[in-house]
Amino acid sequence: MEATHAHGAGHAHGDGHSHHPKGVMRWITTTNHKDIGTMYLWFSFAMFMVGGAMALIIRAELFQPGLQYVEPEFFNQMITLHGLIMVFGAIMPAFVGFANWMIPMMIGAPDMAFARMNNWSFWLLPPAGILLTASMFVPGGAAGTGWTLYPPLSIQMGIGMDMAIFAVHILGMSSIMGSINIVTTILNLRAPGMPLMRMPMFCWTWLITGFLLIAVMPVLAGAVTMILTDRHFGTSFFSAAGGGDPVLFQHIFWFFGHPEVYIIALPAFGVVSHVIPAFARKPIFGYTSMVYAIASIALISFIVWAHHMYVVGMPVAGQLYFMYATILIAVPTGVKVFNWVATMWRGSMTFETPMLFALGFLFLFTIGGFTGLVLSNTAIDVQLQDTYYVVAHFHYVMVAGALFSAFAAVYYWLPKWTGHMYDETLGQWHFWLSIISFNIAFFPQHFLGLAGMPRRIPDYALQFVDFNQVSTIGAFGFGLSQLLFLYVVLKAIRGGVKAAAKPWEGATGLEWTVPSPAPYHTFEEPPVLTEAKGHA
Amino acid sequence: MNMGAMMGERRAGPLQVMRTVLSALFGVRHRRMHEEDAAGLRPGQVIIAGIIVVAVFVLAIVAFVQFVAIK
Repeated sequence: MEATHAHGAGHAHGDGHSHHPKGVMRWITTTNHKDIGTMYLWFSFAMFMVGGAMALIIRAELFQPGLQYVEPEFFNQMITLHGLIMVFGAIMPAFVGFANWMIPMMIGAPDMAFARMNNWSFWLLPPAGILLTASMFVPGGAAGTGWTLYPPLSIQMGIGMDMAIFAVHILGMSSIMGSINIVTTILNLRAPGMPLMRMPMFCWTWLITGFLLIAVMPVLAGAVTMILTDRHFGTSFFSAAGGGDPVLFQHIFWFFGHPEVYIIALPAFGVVSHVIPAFARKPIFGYTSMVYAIASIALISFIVWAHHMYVVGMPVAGQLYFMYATILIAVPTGVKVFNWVATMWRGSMTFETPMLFALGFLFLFTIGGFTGLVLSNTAIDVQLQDTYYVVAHFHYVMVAGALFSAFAAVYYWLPKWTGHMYDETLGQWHFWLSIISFNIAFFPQHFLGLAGMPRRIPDYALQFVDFNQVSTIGAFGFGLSQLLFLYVVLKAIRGGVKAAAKPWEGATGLEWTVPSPAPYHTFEEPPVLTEAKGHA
Repeated sequence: MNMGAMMGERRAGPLQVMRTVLSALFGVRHRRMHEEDAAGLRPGQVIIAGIIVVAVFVLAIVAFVQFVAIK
């Protein structure tokens, strides 16, 4: 989001880097964490637009019952690609982009630990994005299984499915390399005098997320490889006809899939844990318990996976186990929400755009968390399985949890990246348009789900018309609001009020000690830390 | 990890590590208690204790499930 700044700074700082290639080769060969962070963020925004356009196709079709615009097969492909692109192409790369930009500056490191691998982690992403989007145009179309790629459907699809599998492999490799890089950077490159328990919360959340990714991405890679061999090499892992079991895939997938939810959510928690203290002008309440809660959430996320599959056939004891474990994971998550609220308590708060998005996150993520608790109850989940209630639930968690905190992060750090303040009025417009249209789009989906409307179906019964039309109008409003976001970011890149090194009065941390825009190289000499410069 | 050296020389005992991990699972604890504990803790100890506690946690839920589900 700060291409021009990075260009300018890169050229201005000729200090021993005049051999740097110019133009497009600069971006292809760069090993600079700021350049790579920038590319991650632009890539994720491009994917966000592609995935968003797919969502609007889905919502346009659902504006009325019956089939209007697309064939059911294509509808299924949109559902699948929207999920895969948003999860792996938009949200995850966005937070890796924030990590690339900010973690070295937060811990006083000159760059990421493995600068060349960092370049490779990024450049794996565009081929994967192209594979996923191009798969729409091959014979048979893209994968139409839903992002969960369940067999037997995923074994029967055409070449689009192979492209999706290959894309997932590549995205997984990129994530694993990115995580190894982030974990190594945090553990080894902290400035002298910054112990783990005093480092910024965003670094803590990414440290734990990194371990989660390293643990579960190979599991997903294994699962999709087994689908690939079932498809082409005569194995029967998931085919009952050959002695296999399709339910096995669901277990493996969700052993990846549940920690994946926290892979997306934890860095978002990290961002909010910076923004709320900065705008409440108070240090975060309960830093230690926040770190503990993140670690607990990460560990418990491995033992609750089958709550995604209560209805596939499971002994009552199994259902009870996963229900109890899932309900208990709400405790550390609740601790975090209490800590954020307590941070604001008696703070002298102001409501600039980053704070608005952080509060929007807090409010909506709590709703998503509560509907999650509703669904964790097996007896209720059996009723709501595969209805729009589930769709509403995970959009409150993913959009409000991850996307709103990503917006908070962009507005919070944009002055540091570009050297310019963004347009505060337009930023606030973006927030209000987003939060209102988001709720118009997704809140009615709770009602649709409770009334029994199934998800992933292009047609529906007449009694669901009203809420679907409301939802579609909200979705288009939400999609169009994001064009305003693009405009605000571009405007800040091109110019605006000059940003101070620390544009936010209450912000703390090393990243605010360097000038805005951040020079191409920062902390070539490790900073000297005093007690006061510890964590946010 | 370079953290052990920074955090002090005294090694924490297994009981102390367990206490830390259990309060982590609950999520809330006194700052004073934490600072006492943090002085001697090494990341390796905490990770191993965390995995043990999660295993015990799983077994406890399984045992409870057996208790309520089996007549």
